[in-house]
Amino acid sequence: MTETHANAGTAPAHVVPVWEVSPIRLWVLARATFVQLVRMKVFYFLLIFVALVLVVAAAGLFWLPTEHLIAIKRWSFGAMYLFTMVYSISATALLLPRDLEDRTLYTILSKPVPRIEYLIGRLCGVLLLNAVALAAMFLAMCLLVAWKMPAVEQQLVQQLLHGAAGEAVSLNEVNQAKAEAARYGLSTSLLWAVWALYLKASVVSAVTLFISTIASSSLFTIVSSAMVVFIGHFHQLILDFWKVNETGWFGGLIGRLLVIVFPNLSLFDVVDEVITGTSLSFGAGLQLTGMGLFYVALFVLVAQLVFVDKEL
Amino acid sequence: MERRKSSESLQVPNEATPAVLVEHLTKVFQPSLSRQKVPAVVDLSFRVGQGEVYGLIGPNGSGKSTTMKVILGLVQATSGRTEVFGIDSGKVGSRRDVGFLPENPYFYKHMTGRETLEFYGKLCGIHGAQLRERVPELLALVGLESAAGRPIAGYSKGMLQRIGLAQAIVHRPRLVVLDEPTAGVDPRGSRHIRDLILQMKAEGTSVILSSHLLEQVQEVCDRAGIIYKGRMVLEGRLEDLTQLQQQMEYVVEGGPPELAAEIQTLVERAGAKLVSAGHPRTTLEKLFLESTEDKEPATGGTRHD
Amino acid sequence: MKWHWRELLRGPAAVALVLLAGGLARAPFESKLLVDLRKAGFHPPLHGSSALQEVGVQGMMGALGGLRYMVSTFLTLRANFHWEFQDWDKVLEHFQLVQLLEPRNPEAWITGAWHCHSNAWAWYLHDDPKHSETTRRLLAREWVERGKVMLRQGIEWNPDDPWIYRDLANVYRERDRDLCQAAEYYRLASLTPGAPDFLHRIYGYLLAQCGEHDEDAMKVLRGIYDEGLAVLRRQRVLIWKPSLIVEMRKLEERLNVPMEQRIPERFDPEGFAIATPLLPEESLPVYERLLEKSRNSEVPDPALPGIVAQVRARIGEKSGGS
Repeated sequence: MTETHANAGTAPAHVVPVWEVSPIRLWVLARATFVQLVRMKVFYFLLIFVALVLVVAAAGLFWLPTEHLIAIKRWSFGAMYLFTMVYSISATALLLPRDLEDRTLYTILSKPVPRIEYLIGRLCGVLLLNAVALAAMFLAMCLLVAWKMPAVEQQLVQQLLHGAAGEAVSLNEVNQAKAEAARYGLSTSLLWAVWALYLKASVVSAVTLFISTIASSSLFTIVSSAMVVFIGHFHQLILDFWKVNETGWFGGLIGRLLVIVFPNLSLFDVVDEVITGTSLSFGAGLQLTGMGLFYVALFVLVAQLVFVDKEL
Repeated sequence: MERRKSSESLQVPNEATPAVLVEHLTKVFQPSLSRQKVPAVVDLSFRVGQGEVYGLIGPNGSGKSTTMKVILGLVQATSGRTEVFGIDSGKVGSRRDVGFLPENPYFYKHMTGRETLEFYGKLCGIHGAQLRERVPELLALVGLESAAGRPIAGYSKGMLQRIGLAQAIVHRPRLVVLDEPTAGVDPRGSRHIRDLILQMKAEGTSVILSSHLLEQVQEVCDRAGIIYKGRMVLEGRLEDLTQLQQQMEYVVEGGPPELAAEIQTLVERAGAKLVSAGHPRTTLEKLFLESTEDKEPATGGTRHD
Repeated sequence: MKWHWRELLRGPAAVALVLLAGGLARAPFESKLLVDLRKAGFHPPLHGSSALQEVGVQGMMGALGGLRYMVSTFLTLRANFHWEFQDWDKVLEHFQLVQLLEPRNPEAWITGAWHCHSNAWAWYLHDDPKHSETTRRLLAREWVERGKVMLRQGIEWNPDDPWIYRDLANVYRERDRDLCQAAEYYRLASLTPGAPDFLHRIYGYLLAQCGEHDEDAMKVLRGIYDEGLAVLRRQRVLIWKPSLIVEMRKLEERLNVPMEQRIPERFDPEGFAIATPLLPEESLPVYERLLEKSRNSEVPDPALPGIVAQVRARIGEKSGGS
């Protein structure tokens, strides 16, 4: 006869040194968060994305051939931006209050899970979702651009032959035209652009996580995070405004405080230039990465400072 | 494998170490935007021995849940000391050997019952074959094998409570904290949960239990404490608590044996039968109601004021 | 009660402290990164015509965040919609918004200006049903000027883009018949980094045709010719265009260049044989047009019939071979 034991057995789990931050537990929490968000059917957005970009790609709305490529990339990146910002804020804002409301937080934190692990795990889940979604959208965009590229090259060469110079062309010039088309096509800088977008979304997620540790409702978290995102794009403007208006030391001080405390999100806006052919160097890309990671770490740290003492 | 040297790892609990030690615990809440402080628990002390089932009873808002949360490190004590197997309950290490079932628990609705147990198991550091073995075992234990593949969103209240209990013991903790484990569960489910608690008790697991079903507490608990307005008003062994020593009836000391015979004769003459004679007992329910009225209860056991 | 340093790291004060410290710590790195990015062509400092305009542009960009390009594409489409109905004011208005949203996109300036100096210009000149001919001429002129203003603003924002200079030059050439001014803008276009060779060549032609700078024009065209000669000798590839020879001969006449210093009457047709395999189908109509032009001109190009024959032969070879 087999007997089922409620609670007896060998090798109790507590022999594992669990007070350390455990990558396995982080992964367990991140994966659960990812699956939770995926089962909320967030990826339906991807279908909308593909439909939108296909429409832009198929429609002959643009006069210049290069503009067609630019349009595909712009709409793709615009949709990516929309997706990552909306999900970074709303998904992150949802997590903590819902866990608290459903008491899931009690069951998780009554296990040997340090609070910092819970925070990082949940954040990683959102970041994972963003990564998968961005990768999928980026891939779809690349396929479309690659598909359109030969036609655009052909159009540019035709233009060169019949239009701009008004006479015959040399191989050198045809190559120049092709290079011009390539400048608007796929490049490694596009990878940096999507990475910068991902970093920006990660910073926004970390900020939202921090706000959700203070806030009493998801709505407050969403509104406050949107405000931070808004102000985060105005760093240069804030500095310039005080320079222009010379509002005295008090105004200057407030401006500087805003600039110091709020993350500079416009720093990550390299997409615009990359789309129109400017390339981002490896060094600058690394620096951007460093800055993004710094922001994420900073806001996770302050979130932990609040959360570690939070009465649940 | 070399063991890490740390203050936590070096604290190896022995049999004398209580499963839970609460000493002069006070918890005062200060709602935001309010100057008024709300004391939830005041100078509360009790201990739960290893292998003991302890009932924490009290009316709604008396401080039971707050006390449990302090024990689990979910809430910080304003003052006092709380330890779990000798480790300060503020430390993560204190939760290595604890399982918790909150009142009316909800779990991630997108997960199935099996995934829920796997999730909590992994959080407790159980993986691989050990987890694959443990999860079906638990599902069988709480009678949810047939519902294991269904999402939690479709679970009834009783099923939620049972899966909650299963997750609480997934890592075979030596202490289980149960907050109203049978709240809203039908009598059959309630009996099932009671049987599980008794099984844990038989296996030497310490249990702290809060319940409104006093009869159930009386059935399973070794000791109980009654909390009222954040204070422990009565605490002791169940046997002692339910024994009304000052209201002894038919108790005669030093009386001649003839007296007993005479009483028996009187009973028989009336056509009745004397079944037993001894110390009368009250019910825990009566005791509870008396204790939580604003008057002095008059019973045995330890008084806490 | 025992005090612990960790007590310092608690509560709102700690959060404020960490945020401030973090902000101050990142400031130098952020400034350096911004400098590096600007060097690479990102986040260039704004240089609008006024501080207010700068603040306006930045405000608008900030407000829309990463969505401004979607908005600007949408506005471009709206502008095209108004174009269909020849509502030129609306077209202009929409393009001005597009330019406000993406001032560093040359296409925004080029397309907006093109609507002004070509589409609106042509419509007022030929299709406007409401006004008298004189008024129509005036209005058409006005739209050309609007286009020029837009292109100049575009150059201010994008000094390194050759195509805005090129378009402005073409407006001078085609609308104002001011070939010297057109030549000047082609020169500026040819000086931008990565500018295609033909911009320099067209600069030379326009300089030659404008009539005021024959000697400078000769220097430019001679330079192109010599470069081509070097390539021809080295690689047996002819990179001269027939127009180059035509223009140089005209200049030699006007400048009375001694015969021995003039370019040879004929040049090696073998060179063309190597040059023409490149895209023969696409080249043929161009060469045929040039041949036609050459036949009607004062100085027919002796090499062109040979080139056309070569190209036709190449096409025949290709179709025969396939």
